[in-house]
Amino acid sequence: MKRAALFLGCALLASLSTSVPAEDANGSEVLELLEASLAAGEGTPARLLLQRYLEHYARTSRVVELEVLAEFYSGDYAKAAAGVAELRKTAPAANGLGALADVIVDTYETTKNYETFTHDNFEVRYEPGPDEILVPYAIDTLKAASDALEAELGVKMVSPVRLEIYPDAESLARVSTLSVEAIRTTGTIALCKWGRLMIASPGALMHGYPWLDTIAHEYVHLLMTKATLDQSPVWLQEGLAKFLETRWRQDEASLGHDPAASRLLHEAVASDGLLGFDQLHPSVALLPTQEAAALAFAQVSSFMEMYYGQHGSEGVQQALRRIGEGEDAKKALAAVAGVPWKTLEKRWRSGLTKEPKPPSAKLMHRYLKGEATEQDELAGVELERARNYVRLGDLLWTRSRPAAASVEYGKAHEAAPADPVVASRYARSAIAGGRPLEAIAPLKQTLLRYPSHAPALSSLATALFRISNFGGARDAASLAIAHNPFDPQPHCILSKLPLPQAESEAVLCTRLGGMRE
Amino acid sequence: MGSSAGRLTEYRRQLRVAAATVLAVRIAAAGTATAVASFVLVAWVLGPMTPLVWLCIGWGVVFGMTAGAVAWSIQPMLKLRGHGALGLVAAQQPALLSPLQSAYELQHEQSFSRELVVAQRVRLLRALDASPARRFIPWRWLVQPALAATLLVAAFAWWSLDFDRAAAGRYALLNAQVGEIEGARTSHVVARTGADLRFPEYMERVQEHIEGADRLIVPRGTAVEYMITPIGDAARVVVELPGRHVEATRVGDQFVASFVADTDGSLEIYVESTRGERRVDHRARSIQVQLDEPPQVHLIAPEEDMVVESTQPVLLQHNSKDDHGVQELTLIIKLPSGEHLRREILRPADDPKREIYDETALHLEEFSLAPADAVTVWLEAKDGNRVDGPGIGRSAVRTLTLASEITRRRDRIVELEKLMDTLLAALAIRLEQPLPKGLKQALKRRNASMIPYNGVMSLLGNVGDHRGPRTIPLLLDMKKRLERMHQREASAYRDVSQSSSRARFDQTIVTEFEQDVLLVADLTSEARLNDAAEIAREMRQLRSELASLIGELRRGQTPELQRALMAALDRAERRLDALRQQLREAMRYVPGEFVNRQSQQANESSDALRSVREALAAGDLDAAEDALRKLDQTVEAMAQALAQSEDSLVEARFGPRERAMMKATDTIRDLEVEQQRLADNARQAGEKAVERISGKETSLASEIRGELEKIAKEVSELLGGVNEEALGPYESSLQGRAGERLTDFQKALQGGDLGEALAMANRLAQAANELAKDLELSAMMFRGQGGKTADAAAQAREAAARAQDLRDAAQGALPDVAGSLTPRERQQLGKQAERQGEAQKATHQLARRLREEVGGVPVSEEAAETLESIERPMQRAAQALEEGDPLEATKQQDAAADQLRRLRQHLESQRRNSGGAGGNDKGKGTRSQQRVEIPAGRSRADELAWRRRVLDAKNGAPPEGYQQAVDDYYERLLR
Repeated sequence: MKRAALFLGCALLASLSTSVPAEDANGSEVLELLEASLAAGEGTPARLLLQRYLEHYARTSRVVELEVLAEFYSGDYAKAAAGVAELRKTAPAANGLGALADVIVDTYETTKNYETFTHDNFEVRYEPGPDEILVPYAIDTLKAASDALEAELGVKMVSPVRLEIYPDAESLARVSTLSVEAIRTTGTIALCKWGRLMIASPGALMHGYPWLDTIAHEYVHLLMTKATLDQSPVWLQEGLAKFLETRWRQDEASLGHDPAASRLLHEAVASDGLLGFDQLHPSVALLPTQEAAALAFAQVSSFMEMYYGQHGSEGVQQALRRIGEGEDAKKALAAVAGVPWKTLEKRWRSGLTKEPKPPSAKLMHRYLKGEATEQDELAGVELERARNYVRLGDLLWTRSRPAAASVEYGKAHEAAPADPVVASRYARSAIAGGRPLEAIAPLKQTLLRYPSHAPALSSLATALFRISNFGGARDAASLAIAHNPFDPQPHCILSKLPLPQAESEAVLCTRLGGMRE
Repeated sequence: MGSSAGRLTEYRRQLRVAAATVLAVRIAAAGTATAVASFVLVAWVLGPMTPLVWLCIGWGVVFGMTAGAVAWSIQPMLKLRGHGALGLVAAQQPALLSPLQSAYELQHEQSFSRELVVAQRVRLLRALDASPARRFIPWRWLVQPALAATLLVAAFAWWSLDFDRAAAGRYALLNAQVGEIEGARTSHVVARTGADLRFPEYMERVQEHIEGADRLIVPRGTAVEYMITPIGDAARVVVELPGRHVEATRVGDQFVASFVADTDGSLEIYVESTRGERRVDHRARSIQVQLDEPPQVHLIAPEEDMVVESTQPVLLQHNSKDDHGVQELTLIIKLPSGEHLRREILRPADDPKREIYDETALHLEEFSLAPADAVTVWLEAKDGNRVDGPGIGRSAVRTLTLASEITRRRDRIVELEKLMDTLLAALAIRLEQPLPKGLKQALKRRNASMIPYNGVMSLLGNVGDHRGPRTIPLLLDMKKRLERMHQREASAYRDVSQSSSRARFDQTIVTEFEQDVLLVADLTSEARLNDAAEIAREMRQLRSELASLIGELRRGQTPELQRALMAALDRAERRLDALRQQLREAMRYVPGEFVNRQSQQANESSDALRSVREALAAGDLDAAEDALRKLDQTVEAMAQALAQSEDSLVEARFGPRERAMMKATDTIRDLEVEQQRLADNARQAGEKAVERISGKETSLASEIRGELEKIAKEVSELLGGVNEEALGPYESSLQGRAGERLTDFQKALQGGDLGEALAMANRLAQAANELAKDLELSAMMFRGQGGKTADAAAQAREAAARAQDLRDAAQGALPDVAGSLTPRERQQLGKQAERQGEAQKATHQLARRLREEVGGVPVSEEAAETLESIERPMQRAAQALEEGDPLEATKQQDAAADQLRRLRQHLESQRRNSGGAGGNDKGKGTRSQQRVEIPAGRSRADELAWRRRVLDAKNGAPPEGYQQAVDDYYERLLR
């Protein structure tokens, strides 16, 4: 309690650019404050506190450890790695950092050649090369997320908000405690830890992923870490983050449309297969399958949707404050709601049973780039007849026979009209064959079920552009970029529309290979 | 001016103009002539190396003399002032002088009567009409002896300007250099130049002399004697060439500088007078050195890189040219080890040739290449340039890859991909253009689609030697189906009314093409994975080779060992590259689940191989062996994973079909057994009946006997014609048995025992058939040396067929077998007819099932067709049984059973992958360790003979592309 109070005071003062009240505290209190600051994901105040401390006290190995952590949280990985080396040299056995020491060194090694782009209180670090095109979109998202989410959660970050973009899953695994296998299994491609947001580049996955919403999602985690001094359970973290991840692009908080997740939830309710909230511990990324992870997200986010709907942002903030003060999350939520947790949970379960049956949609697997081809995507087409037609279409398409390919894709679409892979390939060939109108209906139908299917979004943008529906084309292209910014098509479409960013989009269009269809 | 006064004034003006013009000509002529003459005179006097002050004086003289001439010429002008011009008139018509003067004077006189003045003027003008002003031009002013003399002098002077001294003086006067000059002043100091050229010896050119050698163009290395004729009293001449200067020596009036032309650049001539004054000649001179181009070498054939059999000679056609002759021509062969072999085609000792066209044969077998190794060849020609060293020309490089199982595997994949492309083209044409209703348009579309279809047929007509148990049967089936469908489709294009039939057939063909494309895509994927698996297996062998070489290296390092090691590493690297490429290609058609892990393992293997190389480069053999162990692990894992992937792919794509085939083979085996059983039953019934009849009938008509004897003789000849060298003891005993039965038959026939004769004919047919079957089986495994086993099998088959004819004829000779049957026998035959009908029905159903798709792949069109053909003897047998003719039934049943046996054996051999060791089989320890079972019941002599036959067959040439597979096969067989 004391620690929290001290920290909050410190953060507030630091945010007002005044001196830290460390001068009035003794050494151990300063160190406590420092630890609290790190627990809140705030590296900058931690560094300030450390500076003050060292003006009066000796630099013991414990202080060196805290120094390493403060540097690490602040993003100065070179200094942090040097500190680790110093610790290993002086007291190899007494290294209190444990496995984190390796992570620090690996982080330094991984990111030492990265570029940093700074804007206001935001920093984006990325590997020089293709990922630099992500920076402007990331900055815009961070700004919008900062405004919207800080208002929702009543917390503001003092330290610069740092986003790191890693080119592949291996890099993400190296700088985190996740394994590539876990990333592959659950499709986890981002996390928030040690006071920073970490995402894999959308280029690391075959068709990208909703990377802008993911940035916002991780931003929610960052704010919650601060709001609760990293004491909120995983289920609450993920539930709220999932619920609020689209808030940055909407006026009101609402749960994103995801029929596949709703379907999973619906089926779990029907078969009494809901996961216990505590099963999410210690991380969603450690659940056995992508389906389990998706169900977990669907559960906790629907719970938070209900809670937010009943108690609003004020209620959420109150609950977070209680959790930050050490209260159990379930009890805190229940206390704010004024009912026991059991009742709260019952209400949620009963709400779920009343939900209408969502449209049939399967969970789309995320494939890491280089580990999968279009053939793997094709393997996901359930109906063999449709799969064979798509194979034929692909073979004809790659031999520059788009008209013939279109006929085969058409047959496949007729056989499996609900399949997103089939629909997007059919649409692609229809557009190439000069029949954009034919492409629109299957694409819209697909996107109703699979709103995150990047190829369908890109094709929809193209089809709408071809029929001169420029407003629709703009929205679809923007959404496509929010999923797969490495597809040149949406950039090319935006470059042809009367938009302020048309010029920069034209540059990206050319850089990524130009208009395709 | 129309008045009389005006006309008078005009007249006077004309007189003045005419005079002035003549005068101007005179002045110009005199001035110019004097100027030229004086200039030339001064130039002569001054010469080439004149100090500035003398030049000024010279110019003064020129200007002075010119001014004098002008002054003299201008004198007559003084006479033209006032009425002076009238003097010109007076000179020719003195009578007009006075009236003219009066008229001019009266013009301004006011005191006289105006009328009188005018009248006088008018009268004068009338007189002047006959004497216009042009009549009074003073030409005489020009015709002056002094002027003429001056002009003559000037002309002479002009002509003399070409004289060296005059020319030098002229240059000095016209190009006076004022002020301080750095270096020598420029003057016209050289009258002329010349050069004697002695070309490099190897060019074999005669010496040349050229005059006016101001622009020398000579081959590099030419010795030049540069001759300079200076103007004036030159004491020393120096020729300045790029980077050096050459002092000329005096030879009479000339100076000669000797040098060898080696660099392009300017050539300047410095002349020093006896007074010590140094001048550089003004004329720009240069020397241009022509480089001797190296020989041009063209490799005419082969035009591109080739894959070559080791015994196949490669004819390298080449053409080399050089303007001065090719001195040396060498064929260079770069071996995989990096070693370069040089073969001289034209030696330096031979006479050089300006052009060489030649052919050189190369045999790859002499280089001890490993499979898929390649040599690169090119030609190098040298000329005889001894100035710069020999010019070297090189031809294009050609890579000759040793044909091996590796390249053949690659070729097979390419063939499959080509087939798939053609199938897709055929499909695309039908899909891109919907079938028109009208016959004409539909026909046009069909004709267009026939082009790729014919391409498909041509490719399927030559399916090559694809490995694996299913590729060739599936492709042959595909060909049959496509042919049949296209033939049927053609019938719908005969008249307009068949549009619905056309649509139906079109749809059927599109569906067929779709299935075929997918099938070929799957076969290609399988072939790719199989190739990758084979490469992984080759990698094991390479690893062992590397390990052994490193072991040897420990004992002592030799350059040969190093080279061999590097070659092995290079080969391993190339194979790994090929493996990665194959996996990448495979990913185009199969999901990553089949190849991802292997791609990663291939990369790890590459890393391990790199580590081996680095360790060897650092001389760390321990580290090299460690890296090799790592390589071993990854290669092993990869080989296993690839074999699994191949199995998984085959199971996923062809598993259902394979199982259906196995099931069908089992059914065929059952049918065969049943058919054999039915034949035995019928045979027994027939024999009993024949026995009964033969008891009653004792004699035969002489023609029938004659016919039977004739057939028996033919059978005897055919059996005797079977090459005994091709027979083992077992086959020899069969042949002997058949011969004995034939003798028995003949004896029985002679003795009039028709029943015995028929029984012996039956046994003869059985023995002959058995002999033919055994030999056919042997020939299927190996054709024997020079194909003798196959020939013997064919001969035996003919003998067996004739023996059956004999049996049939003997049966036919028997009167009314049906009539001799007992009611019980008839009943039994009726039951057998029912069983025969059921067997036929089962055969029909099986044929239908084989035509159906299983897992998207039709099972076997070929087998279905064969089964349909087997139905016919079955039906005939059933009919014969119903009619109570057991002999005919036996004949048909035997035929059906025999066909079923052949079909089963064919299907089984397909399953065993008769085209060579199957891709799957090689990769699996369990399968590769399966023992080849030697048929039991053979004696030691049999076995020895059999081994000898195997060795004979091994010595024979195997079919192209099967060398390795056949060698492996024999090795395992003999062990």
